[in-house]
Amino acid sequence: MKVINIIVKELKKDFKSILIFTALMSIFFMWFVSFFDPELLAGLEEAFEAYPEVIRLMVGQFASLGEFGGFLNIYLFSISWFYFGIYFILKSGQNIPKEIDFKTIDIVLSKPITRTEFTLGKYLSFLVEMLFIFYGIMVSVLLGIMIFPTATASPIFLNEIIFAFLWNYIFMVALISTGFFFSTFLSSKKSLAFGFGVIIFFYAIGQFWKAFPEGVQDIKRISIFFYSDMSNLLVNHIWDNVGLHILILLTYSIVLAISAVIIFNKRDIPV
Amino acid sequence: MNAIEVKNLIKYYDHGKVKAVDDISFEVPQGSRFGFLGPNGAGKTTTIRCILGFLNKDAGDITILGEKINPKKDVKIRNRIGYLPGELGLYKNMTANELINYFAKLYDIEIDWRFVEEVTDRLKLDLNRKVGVLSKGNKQKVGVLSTLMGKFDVLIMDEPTSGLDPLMQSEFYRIVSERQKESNCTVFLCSHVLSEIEKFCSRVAIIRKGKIVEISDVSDLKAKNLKHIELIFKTPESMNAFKSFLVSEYTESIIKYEFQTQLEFLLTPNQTRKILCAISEKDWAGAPIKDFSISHSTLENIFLQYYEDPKSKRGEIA
Repeated sequence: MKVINIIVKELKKDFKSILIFTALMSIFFMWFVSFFDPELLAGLEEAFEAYPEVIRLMVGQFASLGEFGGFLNIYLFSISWFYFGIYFILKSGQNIPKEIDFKTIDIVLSKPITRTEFTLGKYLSFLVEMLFIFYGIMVSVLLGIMIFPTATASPIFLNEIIFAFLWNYIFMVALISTGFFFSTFLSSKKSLAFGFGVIIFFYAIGQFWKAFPEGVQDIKRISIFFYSDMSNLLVNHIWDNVGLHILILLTYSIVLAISAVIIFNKRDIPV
Repeated sequence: MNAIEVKNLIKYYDHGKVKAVDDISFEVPQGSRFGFLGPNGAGKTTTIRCILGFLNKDAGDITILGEKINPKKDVKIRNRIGYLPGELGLYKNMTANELINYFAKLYDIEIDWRFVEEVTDRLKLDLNRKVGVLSKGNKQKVGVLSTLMGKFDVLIMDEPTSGLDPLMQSEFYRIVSERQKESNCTVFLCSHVLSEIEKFCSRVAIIRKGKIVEISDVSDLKAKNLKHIELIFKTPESMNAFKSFLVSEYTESIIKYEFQTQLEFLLTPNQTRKILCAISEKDWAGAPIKDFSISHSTLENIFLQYYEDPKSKRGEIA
C-alpha cells in the first residue's frame, strides 16, 4: 500500500511534464505516420544502399523502408532509446541521489516505511510513466493508420506492431533499470555518468557487432540493444527468438531492480 | 521503562578510518525531556541516524520503548516516533497540505487531524502554499507539524526551533509541553541553543568527539558546577583590593569580567561557601561591597567546560 502512495506521489510530481511529453510525442508520431509513402520511401531505401556499412548499421540499416513495419522500426523503435530512453535514464539516475542531496529522504524514511517499499515505489513510478507514454504513442500511431490512407498502402500487421510496442516498452524498462541501479549507491553525477556510460557501451556493441571480427561477434549477447532489434519481426515477420529476447530483457531488468533494492537496503544514508 | 536505550553504540565512517561514535551508552526515561548536546562533529546526528536506521551501526544495541530493534528493519516502531531532522528537506513542488497528507499515508496509525489543525493555527501556517515558496521559518513549521501530527510516544527533534522567530519558539515549546502532558511522550532534543535545553530539558547528555562525557539531570549538572558570583564595589580601589585577595587565596577562581567597580567570577560550590565566610569576616563586609549576587552557572559555562580541550587551562574560558 505504501508503495502505491510513493508511486502516486511521484506521478503527481511529474504529471504535467509527462502529459506534455506524451502529447508532443503522440502528435510527432502521428505526423510521422502521415508522411509514410511506400513508393517514396522505397526509392529512399535504394539511395541509402550507397551509404557506408557503418552508417547504415548506426541507423538501423534502413531495411524495408517501403513497408510500414520497417518504417516504424527505423523511425520509432530502433531510436526510441534516444527519444525516451535518455530522458528516463536522466530521471531514474537522479531521483534517489536528489532525495539524499536535498535531505527529503530523511523525513520520508523516518516514517514506518521500509527501504524496499521506498525504492520499489520510485522504480515502479518510472515504469508507469513510461507505460503511459508508450500507450499514448501507440494509440496515436494506430489512429494515424486509420486516418491517413498512405499508411495502409502497404500491408499492415497490427498484431506485430502492437507486440513491437510491448517489446520496446520492455526494452525501455531495461534502460530505466540500468539508470536506477546506479542511482541507489552512487551520487547524482556518478550515477548519470555510469548510467549513460553503460548504455552507450551497450549501444555500440548492439549496433556495430557486425563490424567486429567474426571471433568476437558473440559479444553482442551482453548488450540489451541486441535483444531489442525488432527488424526480424516487423520486416521479415519472423517470431523466432522474440520470446527469448523479451525474457532476457525482463530478466536483466528484474536482476537490476532486485540488486538496486538490496544495495539500497544495505547502504548508509549520509548526512 | 526507558523510551530510548543505546548500549555501546559504535559507528565508523570512511571504511573504519574515522570513529564517529565511540562506544556510547545512554538511557532516556519514558516521559522525560532529554537534551543531547555537543559541538559540531561530536556525533549527535550520527547517533540519531543510527537510532532511526539511516546509518548502519558497527556495534551496539538500540532499544526503543522496551523493544530491542534493528532500526532499519523494524520499521513498525516508527509509528510511535515523530522525527524532525536538523537539516529539513521538504518536497518543494508540493503544498504544505499535500505534504502533510502524504506523510500521514506513510503511517499505519490514525492521524490526529484536530490537533494538526490546532497546531497549524497556533503556528500561523498557511497549508495551501507550495513549500518551495515558504520562508525558512515556515518550512520549519511544516517540519514541526509533521513531527507532531500523530500521538507519538517518542519525539526526536534536531534543532527544532531553527529559523523560528522568538514568539514561535515559545509557542513551539508550549505546544510540545502540552502534547507531553496529554500523552506522556518522551522528548529527545538535540540543540545548540543551550538556553532552550536549560529551560526545557530535565536531563542532558553531553557528547564530545564521539564519546559521552556527561549524563546528568540539568539541575544536578548546574549544582555541581561552578557558581557565578557578581560583586559591585563602592570604589575601584576596593574592587582591586578584593581581586588581589581572590587571586592569591582562591587560585582556582575564574575571573569572567572586571570593569571599574564590577567584578564577576566563577567558583566551585565548596569555595563559594568559603568565600562567603571570608567576606563576612574580613573588611569586605558592609561598606566596600555595594551589591552581591550568586547564581548557578549557566549551561553554557558547563558546556564550555566540557568542550574545552582538556590540555588547555580552565581559566581561558573567561
